[in-house]
Amino acid sequence: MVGIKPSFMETTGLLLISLVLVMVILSFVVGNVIFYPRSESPYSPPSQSNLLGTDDLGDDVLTLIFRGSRVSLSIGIIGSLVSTLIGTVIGALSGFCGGSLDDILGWLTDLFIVIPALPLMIVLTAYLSPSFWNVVLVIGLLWWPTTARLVRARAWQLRSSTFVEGLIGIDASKIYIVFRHILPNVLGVVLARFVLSISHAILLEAGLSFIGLSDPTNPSWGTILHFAMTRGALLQGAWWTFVPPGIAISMTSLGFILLGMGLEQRYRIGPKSLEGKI
Amino acid sequence: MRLIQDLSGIRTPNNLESNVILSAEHVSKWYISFKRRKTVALENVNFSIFKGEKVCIIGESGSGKSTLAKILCGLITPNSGEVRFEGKKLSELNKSEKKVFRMRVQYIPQCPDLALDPTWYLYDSLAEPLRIQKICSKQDEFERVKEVCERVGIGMDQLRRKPRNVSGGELQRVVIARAFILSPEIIIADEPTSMLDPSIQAKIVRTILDLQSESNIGIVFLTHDLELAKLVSEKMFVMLGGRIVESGYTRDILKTPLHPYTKSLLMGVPPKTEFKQNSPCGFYGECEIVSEVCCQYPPPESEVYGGRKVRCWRYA
Amino acid sequence: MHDSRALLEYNGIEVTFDMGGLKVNALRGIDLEVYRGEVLGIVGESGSGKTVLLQATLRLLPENAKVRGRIFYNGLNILNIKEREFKKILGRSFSIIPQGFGSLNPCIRNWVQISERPMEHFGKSKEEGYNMASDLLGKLGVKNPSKVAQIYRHQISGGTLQRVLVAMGTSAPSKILFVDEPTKGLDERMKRLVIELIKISRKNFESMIIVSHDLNFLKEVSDRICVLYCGDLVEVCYKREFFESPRHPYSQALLLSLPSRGLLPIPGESPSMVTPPSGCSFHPRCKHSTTVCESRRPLPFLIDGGMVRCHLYARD
Repeated sequence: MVGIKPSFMETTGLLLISLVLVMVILSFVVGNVIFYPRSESPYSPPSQSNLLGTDDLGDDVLTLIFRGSRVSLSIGIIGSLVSTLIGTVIGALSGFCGGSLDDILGWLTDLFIVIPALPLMIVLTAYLSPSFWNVVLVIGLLWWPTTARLVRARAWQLRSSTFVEGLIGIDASKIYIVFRHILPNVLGVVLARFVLSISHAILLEAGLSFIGLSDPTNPSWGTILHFAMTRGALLQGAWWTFVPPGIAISMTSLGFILLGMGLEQRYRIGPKSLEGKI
Repeated sequence: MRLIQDLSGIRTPNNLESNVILSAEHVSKWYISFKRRKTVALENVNFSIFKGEKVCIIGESGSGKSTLAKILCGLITPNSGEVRFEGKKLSELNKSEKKVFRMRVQYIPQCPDLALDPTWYLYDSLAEPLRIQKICSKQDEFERVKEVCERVGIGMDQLRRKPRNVSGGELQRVVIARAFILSPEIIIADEPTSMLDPSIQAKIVRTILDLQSESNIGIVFLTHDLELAKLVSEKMFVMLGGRIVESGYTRDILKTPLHPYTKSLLMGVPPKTEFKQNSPCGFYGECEIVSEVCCQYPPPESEVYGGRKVRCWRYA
Repeated sequence: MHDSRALLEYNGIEVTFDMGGLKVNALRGIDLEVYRGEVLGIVGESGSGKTVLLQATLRLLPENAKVRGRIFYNGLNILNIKEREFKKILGRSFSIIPQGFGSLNPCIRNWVQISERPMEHFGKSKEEGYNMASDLLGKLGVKNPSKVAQIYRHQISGGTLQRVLVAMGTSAPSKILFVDEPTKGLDERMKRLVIELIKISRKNFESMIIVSHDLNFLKEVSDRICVLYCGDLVEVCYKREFFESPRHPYSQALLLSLPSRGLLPIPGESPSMVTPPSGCSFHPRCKHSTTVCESRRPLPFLIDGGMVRCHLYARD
C-alpha cells in the first residue's frame, strides 16, 4: 500500500526526463523544419531568427542541442544498459554460487573499483578512437562494479533464504534458480541502479566529449561545450553557446538521479514491510 | 506395506532392514569457524525411519535437529557418515536416482515467510515442483494442483496472490501442499508451527496428519513441544547438543524417561548453567547425578531394552 | 468514572492506522482496568491488536497511528500529557521486559544494561548500579552474579541471558511491569524459567501486564485474563474461570486448539484487520452464530466480575 503512489522525487525526475524525451522526439519528428538553417554571422546572440543564437560556424545552437540530446541520451542509456547487464550477471553469479567463483569475481570487482575510472576511460577512448560505440563500450566496461556489489549482496541474502533451499530440495538446477528466482528478486534493485547509472553515463560522456574524446560528426552536448571552450566562445562572451548545453546536461542527469533515488528507496523496503503489517 | 500387530495392539511396522526407507549412519557435521575453532553441530547420529512411520525429533534450539533434518533431505552434506535412501548411499546416487530421491523426500521449513519466492504467484510456486521434475502436462498440472489444494484446504482463488498478500497460516498450508504435490514417501517438517498462533498450529498439524494417514507416508516431525510430540508421533528421538540422547517409542519415553535431560524436559526444570561450556556430555552442567566419568568421556549409546536407546553413563 | 481499585484504566481506546489513505482500525474501543496488585494477561493471536494496546500505552506507536480515548494512570490521563512529563512517568513508574535477546546491546557489559534505568532515572551511582545488578542477578538464580555482571551477552548461555533480560526490566522500582511476548520462540525449559523469573519479580511491582499468545504460560503467571480478537476485547475474566469455563465462543475454541486439549482447529480463517467482519467479528467462525451476530456488534456484558462481548449472554 505504501510505495504504489510515485514519490515527489520520482515525479520530479520523471518530469525532467520526459522534457528530454520530448526534445529527442522533436529532433526526429520535426527534423530541420522548425529550426533555422546556418546563419551568416558566427556568434550572433539570441534573436528572432536564432532563438539561442549561433556558434562559431554560424550553426543554430538550439538545433545543435536538440540533435545533441539524441547522442547524449542514447549513449547514456546504452552505456548504462551494458554496465548494468555486466554488473547484474557477475553479481548474481558471484553471490549465488559462492566459493571460489565468488572469490575470483569479487577480486575482479575490487580491482575495477580501485582503478581510477575516469583516467582509464580517457586513455581507452583515446586509444580506441572516439566513436559512438567505443564510448558506449568503455562506459559499459568500466561502470559495472557498484552494480555488481549491490546485486551480489542481495543474491547472497537470497541464497540462504528458505525458498532457495526448498528449490534445491526439489532438484532445481543452479542456472534455473539464478535466472528464474534470484534475478526477478533483484530486479527492483537493478532497475534503480540502472536509472542512477544512466545519469553517471551521461555525465561521463559529457566529460569525455568535453576534452575532445567524441565523434565530432555526431555532436553531443559535451561536444558543443568542447567547441565553445576551444574556439573562444568565452572570449567572445557568447554565453548562449555553453550555458544551454550545460543546463541540459545537469537537468537530464538530475532527472535520472531523482528517479533512481526514488526507485532505490522504494525497493529498499522489503516485500514484507511493504504491506505495512500491524 | 507389511504390518505386524504387537501384543498391545499398537500398529508397528516390522523392523526388517528392508523396510527402512531413510536412515543416517554415524553422521557428523561440524563447522570450522574463523579462528579454526571447530563447532560441532552433529556428532555420530544414527537415525532411521520406516515406511509410513511417524517419528518426531525433540530438541531445543541449537540441539542440531534442524541440521539433522537438512542432512536427511540432502540439503547439507555431512562431514562424515552416510545417509541412505532405500539402502543406497546418498553420496553415490547418480543423477536420475538423485532426482527420484528429491521427489520422494520433501522438506517443510520452519518459517513460511520466505519459503516461497516473494515475486512469484502462489500457483506457479505450487506447480513448480511438477515443472522441474517434468512429470506431467499443463492440463494434468492444473488437476494436480487443484487436488492437493482441496486436500490441504486452500481455495484455488487464493493461489492468484503473491506470498505477501496471504496470512502466515495460509502460506504454511501452501508450503505443505507444495511438499505433498510430488506424492513423496517421507515428509520432514522442521517445526512447521513454531512461528504460528496456537489455533493455526492445530489446523496445520491436523492437515499434515490427515495427509499422512491418507497416503501412508513417513513423517519426521521436529518440535520442542512435548504435548505436540505425543499427538503426532509413534517414535521419538531426543536430541541434545548435537547427539541423540534417547530414542524409542513415544509413549514409553513419555511414561518412563531414562535420560536425565528427558526427565528435566518432562518435569519442566528450567536450565541452570551460567557459562557456555564444552563437556563430553551435553547435559553435564545441569545433571543432578554426575559421576567422574561424565566430564571425561562422552557417554556411549546403550540399548536398554527393545528399541530403547539411551546415551548416558548411568545405563552404560 | 474513576475506579479507585484501578491503577491503569483504559477508556474507549481506539487506534487507527492510516496506510496510504486506507484507514485500518487496530483497536475498536477497549475498556479495561488493571487493578492494583494483579497480573493481567492479554491473550490474542497475531493481528488481534494486543501489541498495539501495549504500544499505545507506552507511546511506541508509529507515526501513522492515531489513538483516541483515555488511559488513566493513577487518575491522570497519560494520553493528554506532554512528552516530557510522560517520559518522567515512563522512567519512574513503568518497566518493560523486552522481547528477545536482541534487546541486549552486545557492546555493553551486562551490569550496565541492567542498571541503566536506576542510574538514569533514580540517580544511582555507578557503584550502586553495579552492586544492584549483581544482587538482582543473584536473586534471579545466577550462581556467579558478580562475574556474570561484568561480561558481555555473547559470553553467557541462553538461560542466563534470559535472567539478564528479566533483570533489565526489573532493576528499578516501578508500579507497573509490562512484559511483551516473553515466551515467543522459546523452548519448553526456557519457558519454565521465564515463569519462575516472573514469579520471583512479582512482589517488586504493584501490577503486571503480560502480553502473550501462549495460554499455558499465562495459566501459570496471571491472575486475570483478557482476550483480544480482531481489535475487540471479547472476554475479561479470572484465570480459573477462563481455563475451566470460558464464556466467549472464541475463548472456548482457543482452549480446544491447544495440543493438551485435543488440538481442535478453529474453523475458518483469522479475520483481516483491513476488512473486519460485520457485527461480531467472530461470527463467521462461531458455531453459535445467529443473524443478530452478523448484523450487530455485541455490547460488553458484565457477568460475575468479568466481561464478555457476545450475543449469547447479552440476548434480551
